[in-house]
Amino acid sequence: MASISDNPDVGPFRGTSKEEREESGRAKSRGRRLLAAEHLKIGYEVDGELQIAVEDVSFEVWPNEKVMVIGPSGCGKSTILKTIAGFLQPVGGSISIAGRDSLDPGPDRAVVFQEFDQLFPWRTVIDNVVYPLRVVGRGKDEAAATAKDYLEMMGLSHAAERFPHQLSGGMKQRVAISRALALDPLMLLMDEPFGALDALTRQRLQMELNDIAEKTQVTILFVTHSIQEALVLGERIVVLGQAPSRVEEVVDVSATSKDPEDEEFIEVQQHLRSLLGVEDKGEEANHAGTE
Amino acid sequence: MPAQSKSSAASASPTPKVGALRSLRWYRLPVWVRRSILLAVIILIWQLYVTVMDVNPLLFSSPADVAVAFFEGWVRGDLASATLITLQILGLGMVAGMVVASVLTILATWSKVGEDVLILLTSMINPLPAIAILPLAILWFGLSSTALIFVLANAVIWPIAINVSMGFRTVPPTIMMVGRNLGLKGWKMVKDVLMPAALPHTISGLKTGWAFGWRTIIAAELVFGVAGGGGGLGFFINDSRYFLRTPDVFAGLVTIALIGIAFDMLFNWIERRTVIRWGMKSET
Repeated sequence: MASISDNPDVGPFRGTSKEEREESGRAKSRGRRLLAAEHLKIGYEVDGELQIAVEDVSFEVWPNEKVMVIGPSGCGKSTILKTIAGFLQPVGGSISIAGRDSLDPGPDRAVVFQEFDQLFPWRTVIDNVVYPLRVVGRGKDEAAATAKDYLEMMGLSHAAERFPHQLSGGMKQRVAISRALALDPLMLLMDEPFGALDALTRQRLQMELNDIAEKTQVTILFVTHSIQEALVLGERIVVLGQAPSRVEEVVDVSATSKDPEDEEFIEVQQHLRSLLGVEDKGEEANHAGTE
Repeated sequence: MPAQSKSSAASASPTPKVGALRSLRWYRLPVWVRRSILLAVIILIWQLYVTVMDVNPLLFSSPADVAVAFFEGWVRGDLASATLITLQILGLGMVAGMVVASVLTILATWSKVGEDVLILLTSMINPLPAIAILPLAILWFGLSSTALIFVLANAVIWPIAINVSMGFRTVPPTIMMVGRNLGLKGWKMVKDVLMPAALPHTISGLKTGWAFGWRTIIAAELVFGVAGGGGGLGFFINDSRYFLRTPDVFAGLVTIALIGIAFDMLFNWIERRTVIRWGMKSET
């Protein structure tokens, strides 16, 4: 719930010493903030005019945490993720990752996209996982072994030699997740990765992701427009308002039941719906109906 | 032949003769068998026409005469050397065209102005049959193979440049972001992401470029032959016509067709091994 501005911990994180950086570099040491986004202001240039999509957004992510970013469509939630990934430069505010203020794209923030074409169609499934590992400097044998392990973890061993176009949507997203995890990133940035999947596959992948997060203790920043998904997967939910967006509220759901039938779950769901406004209610109800 | 099988398939008569025909349905045969049968039929009709109608052999050769001329041409070596010369000039012209096309593509991918220039030039020059440049080329370079290479390069530049730059521009943004996410930059990004992603367009550009080039080189050689230069297949045909060696004219045409088929097969093979295998292009 705490926003950055009233957190006294902000100071030491900015401009850390080399020692501190290396220490937090592994990101597995608890109690060190992994990501701090402060007063982010992000805009696009449209016909020479700056259109502000994100007005003032601050939040943080701690190691091993699963933070969801949710908001109405067009509120800039994907934009925030792309900025953290380094694809976009903010107009104002700052992002620090494990104490670094670097905004260059890098594999320490491995991104999983919504689009199925995020896999290289000319590489087999295993090569799609091996290639990034080779790019970041792993040895040939090590990369192959690591890729194999992660494909096995995602239940994809049987499809290792196939090409992406021979896979179902769910399998493609599994490969993308394997590829991101294999890089052993500081954090996983997930941009509505299940948004284009059918309800059943989506639900299955949500369960799998929860298991994998448990197993690997990976830190996840996950953007979604589904309240249900945010509740099922998240520990904290950053709720954004309409564009130009601000943080409406950060809801701690780490202790909330993950069972959609549970009263507590429904109660928080209601709260999130009211935060997001009536329009989303119908859409979400449809979702709940299909899932 | 197809009409016959169609009618036999349509009639459900139970007589054994029709039944046997039905079991041999045309569309069930492998493609190469169907094509071979049709080719044989066409050659047969051709031979019958020449024999029955008693056509003047100076005007129209029989398939048998053409086969002999073709065979002798290759054994004697003049058809073979003509083919070699044509392919050599084609190769040089295509390489020159590809180099210029690469430069244009880089400029067009780099900047909006470059793209506009490419589109404008292509829309101006592409509708012009490449052979129309030949008189100018002869003025500039004389009756030399340089003139031929110039015309040929002009024929292949535009389809290749426009296709490849289109390929680069339509690379899915997501896959570019995946590359950037890995920290890929510069040449490594081009080599590992952009070029494979643009390969379907590149291959179709090369295919169109080759087809333009092939038609242009033959046409140019025909005109060249008239102009007194020579050496290639176009010259061989023209020269044979001059001396009324009609079977040799046909043999030259058959050679041109066979080389065309061979190159088509090569490109199709490359496509099957790459972009079709990767699901980036559907099989036609």
